[in-house]
Amino acid sequence: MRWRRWWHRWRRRLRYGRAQPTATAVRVNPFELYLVCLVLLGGLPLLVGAPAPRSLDALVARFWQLLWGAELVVGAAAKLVGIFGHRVRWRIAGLWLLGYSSVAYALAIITTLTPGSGAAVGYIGGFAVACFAQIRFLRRAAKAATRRSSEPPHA
Amino acid sequence: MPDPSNLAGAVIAGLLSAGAWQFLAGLLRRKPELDRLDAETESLRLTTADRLIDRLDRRLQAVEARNQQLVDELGQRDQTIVELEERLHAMRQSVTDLQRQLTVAETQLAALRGRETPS
Repeated sequence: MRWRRWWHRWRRRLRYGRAQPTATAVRVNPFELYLVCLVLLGGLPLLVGAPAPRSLDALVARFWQLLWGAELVVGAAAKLVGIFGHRVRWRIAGLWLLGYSSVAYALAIITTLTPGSGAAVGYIGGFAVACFAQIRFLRRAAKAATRRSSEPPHA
Repeated sequence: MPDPSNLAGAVIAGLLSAGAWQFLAGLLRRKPELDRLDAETESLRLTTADRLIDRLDRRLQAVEARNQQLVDELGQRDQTIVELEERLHAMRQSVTDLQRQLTVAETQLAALRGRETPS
């Protein structure tokens, strides 16, 4: 046990020096994880040949439908890499994809408005807003981390 | 007036393209503040892991110390038991010797009494 503690301390000192900055906690959130998995499962069938949602099918060609599905899957996968690998860059990149593809889908539903699609627009639009808000939050956390790192280290 | 569905399709295609572009740009562009945040997160994880290791280490030491204390106590009790057994054995030996001496004395007394009795 002791040797592991020593190795971690040595490795940390080698990378960051003696300063021990307190970090913005970017932890695994189970709700976030659940949403990401839902999105992944939503986009995957499209890539293996399932038909796209009717609203998208009516408006765009097959290529864009496949691109939409791919963006969902790749965006969710990038989020997972960011969550489990603790890499904010990947989280933000994944969120961009998910946000844009959600806006695209919400727009498709609005354009081909059918009865009962108001709620769907709400859910998907809300998800897009949440994605962009999360990007903003993570960028602010990154700026705060930059400011803290530029402060003199405590003894 | 352009067809709304064509327009919507074009906007959707534009949104999807913009999303892909942002994704690639986000991964490939240099962003030192994001790398710094990752480094801090890693540091926090290691610090947290260190603290957890420290706590487990202290618990392990406390358990080992208690274990050693119990082993010492057991050792002392064993020692006491051995000493008591030796004393018991010695006392039994004494009792046996005394019984033998008593038997000899009784035999001698009987012999003396037999001589004193007038024939």
